[in-house]
Amino acid sequence: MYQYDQYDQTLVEERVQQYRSQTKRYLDGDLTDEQFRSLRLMNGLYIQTHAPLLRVSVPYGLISTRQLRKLASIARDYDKGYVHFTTRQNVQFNWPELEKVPDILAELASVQMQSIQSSGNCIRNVTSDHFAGICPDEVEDPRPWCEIIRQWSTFHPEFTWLPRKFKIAVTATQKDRAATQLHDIGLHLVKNGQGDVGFEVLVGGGLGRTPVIGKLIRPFLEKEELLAYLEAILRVYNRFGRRDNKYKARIKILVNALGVDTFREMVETEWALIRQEEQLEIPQHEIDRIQACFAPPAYKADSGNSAELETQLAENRAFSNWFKQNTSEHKVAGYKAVILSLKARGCPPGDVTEKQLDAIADLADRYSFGLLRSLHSQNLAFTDVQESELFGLWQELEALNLATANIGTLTDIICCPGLDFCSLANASSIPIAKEISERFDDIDYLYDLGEINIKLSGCMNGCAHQSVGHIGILGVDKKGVEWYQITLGGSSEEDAALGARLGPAVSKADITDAIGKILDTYIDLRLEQEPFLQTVRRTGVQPFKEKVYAD
Amino acid sequence: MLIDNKGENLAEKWLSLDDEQPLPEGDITVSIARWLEDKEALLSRKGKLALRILGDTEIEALKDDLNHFQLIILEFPKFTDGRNFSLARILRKRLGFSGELRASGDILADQLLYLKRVGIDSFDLDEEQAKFAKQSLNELTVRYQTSADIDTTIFQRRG
Repeated sequence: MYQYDQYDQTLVEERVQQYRSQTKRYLDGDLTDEQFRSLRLMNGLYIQTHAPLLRVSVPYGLISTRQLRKLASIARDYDKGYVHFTTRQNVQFNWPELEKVPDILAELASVQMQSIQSSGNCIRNVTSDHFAGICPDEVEDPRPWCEIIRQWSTFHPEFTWLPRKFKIAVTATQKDRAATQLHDIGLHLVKNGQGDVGFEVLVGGGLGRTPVIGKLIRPFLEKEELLAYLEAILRVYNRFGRRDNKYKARIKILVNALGVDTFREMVETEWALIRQEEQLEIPQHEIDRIQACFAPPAYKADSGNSAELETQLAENRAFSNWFKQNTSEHKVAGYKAVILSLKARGCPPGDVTEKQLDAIADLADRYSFGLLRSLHSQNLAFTDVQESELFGLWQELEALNLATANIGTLTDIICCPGLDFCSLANASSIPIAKEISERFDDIDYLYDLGEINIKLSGCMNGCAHQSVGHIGILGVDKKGVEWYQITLGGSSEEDAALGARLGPAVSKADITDAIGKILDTYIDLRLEQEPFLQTVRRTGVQPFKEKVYAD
Repeated sequence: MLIDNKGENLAEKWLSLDDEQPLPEGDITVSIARWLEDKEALLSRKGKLALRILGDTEIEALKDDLNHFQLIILEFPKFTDGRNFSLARILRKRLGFSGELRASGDILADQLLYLKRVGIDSFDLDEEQAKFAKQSLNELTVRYQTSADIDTTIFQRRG
């Protein structure tokens, strides 16, 4: 993974001191609540219902075991013994004390971690494909480009007081595991007709109150133009994005108001000028240095022992279920990627205890070169496990309650903290996720249903991306009572689409039954092996609506 | 309170002229509307001239007028409004303005370093913020990006 040099390390250490003095000024009364709010948010600190919440960046989801152990020790020493992984691959502490946050940042800086720009109206943590570097069909590893964007965007002098938050994601395969079409900028590494690698650039995607799918602004951008083009988009947005209404301030609103063609013209004009004014091309030796940080680990040449694995799979149904659901293909023969499910029955999605974190770190050291990934789906992954070691790893994960074989199934729910923690929420989400995961816990039933994702947010800010869930559930408040709106047919992947509204919101008492009726309808309607999403797209929501609102 | 971009106090007197006010002697600042309306009178008087602009200004349209101003004041009605950061950069690097750039209004001490980087020379801000200016201007030394202050990115500077 990327290793900080003296510049990077100095920067995070200076940031700790800066934030320490900002906190002191606030506590001394030299900063108002409103002033400090902007400063603390740019350091990932929210003030929530019960306590502050600290969001720590995990750049493009890559994390070392040394870092993981540090998160565990912070969870023990400064928090209530657990952390929460988010849909943007970051990690959150739910109970830090405001006064202690500078000390937490100092601990993080000691392992090359930080929370810079993990919130606020600035360029946020850049995200990527959690399987970057191991996909057979990858055009090129996107992580070096993510790292370049991370550095470019950190304390950008011009783009740190934007109209609204700004999110960038980068992928390099056909399959989109990073929801790139729902980002302010989505970058796809692609090959053009000449065989050169560059970026396809999307702009203006986003979720929240006005969900919008990103639009193609440039089909092919030469790699050396990346920073100049990003600066051009950001400058047009910073100057012309709306600032009068925070719900209309994202770049998606500007792009829609101008039309993508006009927006493109403005960006291209700006880009042409920037190219004359600035030298933003990254020298090859620096690209080489950063790429070298992501060089493949020392895979064993002959690691396949397929006969033994075949026997284990044949003899142990629980293991073969897990193998089928929770492992993924690898470009190197004899290796697999393994997803650790943070969606065990009855557990809040994405939560991990400090004991589990330490144990996971030990396993990653033994089984996967000391590195792991956090996923958009709020799970973790070991990306480089030898097939011959899968059975042993599975047994150890089972003992830690991290081997629930439900990845990609109905109970692999993406869920925001909701009313239990979040001061913005209108309705609870974790208890609903728990109820669903308990009601539908028959593994054969889940496998029969196949690939279905539920995304569940407790308010229309949509942190759990409910608008693009196969089944989206949105909590709303009606006169102090929690209700839930259902959408069907959304997707955040390469076939991205917004879900269609099923009908009136259903009550908290009825939501799990409503999900059951939707599933029954799917089973009635599906053709052969047809996945849920295809059925909904083929039939529309009407038959589902009739069943759910039958009474 | 007026300070330079090292955090040192400045003592200058510019008269901020309303659009309706008669033209006085001395050093004055005017809005764009006043400038466009009274160009000739403003140029034929004695004393220095400064232009006050807001974040929504189409600064490119004033390109040919810029050499008449010793000072351009970028006004911040609200510290969260970051448009002036882009305007400063454009004034410096695109339009070649070499006079003084000043940020004025609701500005946090914590923004001064960013403003200095995009080309601002002086700040007119609340005393409560000004007292932390020196500290804030010096607390971050690493600069990853190009801006008005530096022509290379960190990627070019690394050996």
